[in-house]
Amino acid sequence: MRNIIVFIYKYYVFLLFLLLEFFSLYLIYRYNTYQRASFINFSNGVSGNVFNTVANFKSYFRLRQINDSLQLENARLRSELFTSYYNNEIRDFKVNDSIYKQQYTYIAAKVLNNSVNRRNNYLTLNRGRIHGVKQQMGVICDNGVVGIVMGVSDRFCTVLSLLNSNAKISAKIADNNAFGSLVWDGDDPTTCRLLDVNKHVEVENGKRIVTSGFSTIFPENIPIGEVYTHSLEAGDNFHTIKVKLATGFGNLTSVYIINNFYKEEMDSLETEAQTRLTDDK
Amino acid sequence: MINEVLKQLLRLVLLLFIQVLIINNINLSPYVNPYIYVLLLMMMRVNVPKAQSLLIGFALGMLMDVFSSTVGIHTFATTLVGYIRPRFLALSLNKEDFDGNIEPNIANKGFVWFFTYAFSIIFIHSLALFFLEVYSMKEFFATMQRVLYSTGVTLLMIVLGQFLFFTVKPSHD
Repeated sequence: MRNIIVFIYKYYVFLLFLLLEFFSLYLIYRYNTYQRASFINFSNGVSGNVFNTVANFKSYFRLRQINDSLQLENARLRSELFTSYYNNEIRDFKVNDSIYKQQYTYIAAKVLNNSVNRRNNYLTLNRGRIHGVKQQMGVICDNGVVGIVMGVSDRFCTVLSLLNSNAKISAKIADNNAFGSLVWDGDDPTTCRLLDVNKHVEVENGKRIVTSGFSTIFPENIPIGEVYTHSLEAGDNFHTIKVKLATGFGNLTSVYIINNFYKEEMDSLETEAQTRLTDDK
Repeated sequence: MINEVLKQLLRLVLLLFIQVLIINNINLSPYVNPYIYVLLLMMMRVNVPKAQSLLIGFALGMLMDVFSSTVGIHTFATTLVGYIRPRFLALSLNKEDFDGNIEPNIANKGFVWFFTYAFSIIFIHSLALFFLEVYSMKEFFATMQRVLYSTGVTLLMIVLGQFLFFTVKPSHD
């Protein structure tokens, strides 16, 4: 017993060092394997307020651009209004619509903090639990896809940016519906790579890449970018496609969080099917 | 003593301010991410007890993690620095320095010593930080480039900062 105490006393700095390092490694491990969000939640309540103050201050410098982009978006929305379509219908009837039910709603949010130059980038937004934000909701901006909500506190949420090694988004080529997954290489914040597009699919530079709608996170046909370069290595079954991103991550200010009303139903159905499959084995 | 604590706290706030609100917003390149906040650990007086140095490193890392939406990676890197720093100092400083309890800056120890000291600390910090951030060995060379370029830029900023705040005596050796 005495020896143990002497030992601990003698090497207590080293033991403390090991203890602290194992603790941080444990955090990193937990964070990289399980539900990432649970740990992040405590942090964005603290730092969110700081970033909020700074974002308020900074937003003044960008008012002109923000106005311009809002105007553009207004124009686009106006063109989609019912009144801007020519009505070809002769009979006038009205149905209480039971065919079309609203599936997606959008929550407008402001970007408080953002980075593009790390290997794993995150955003902080000024919307949280009290505004109806939940984990695993998609985030888009006027131009295209931004990322996926990871952590939610009462008033803020953190978003896994598309520019993150953990981000993988199901995407397709708009013309021929060939789908693959979009990942980021980590060296250029304006381009991503589209993986798993089969070699028999024809790819051309400039073709539009949009979301596939296979996940419950993003609706179909949200723009991601366009094909920048593509090549097919000899003996390779998949194209190597570089995608020029439509979203300018460097100057994001306003984004929309997507709420999918049927998400839980779809997810639970899929997990149910999964478990049934494993049960059958 | 109280003065010393106040000074360190002021330094902490200032460094965090510069790091989080200015440097983290400068997107030079995905390969260059200077982390100058380690300066706080580097500039502690040489007689700070080893355990204290560790705990300060741990706390600083936690704080930095909170401000960069990460978990554990800054904590690991700064704790490592907090452990290595006293050993580096014990190897490279003489008895007078410890008796005087000097602050290891460029004015007290000259350019060459400070450069080596800063390089070692920053390199170890960046190495731990960037590899843990990527969390895989798959992109080893890309990550290594990240470490080297970021170390270079951080070192440049810190050494220039020293010239800004201290007058450098001509070196004795």
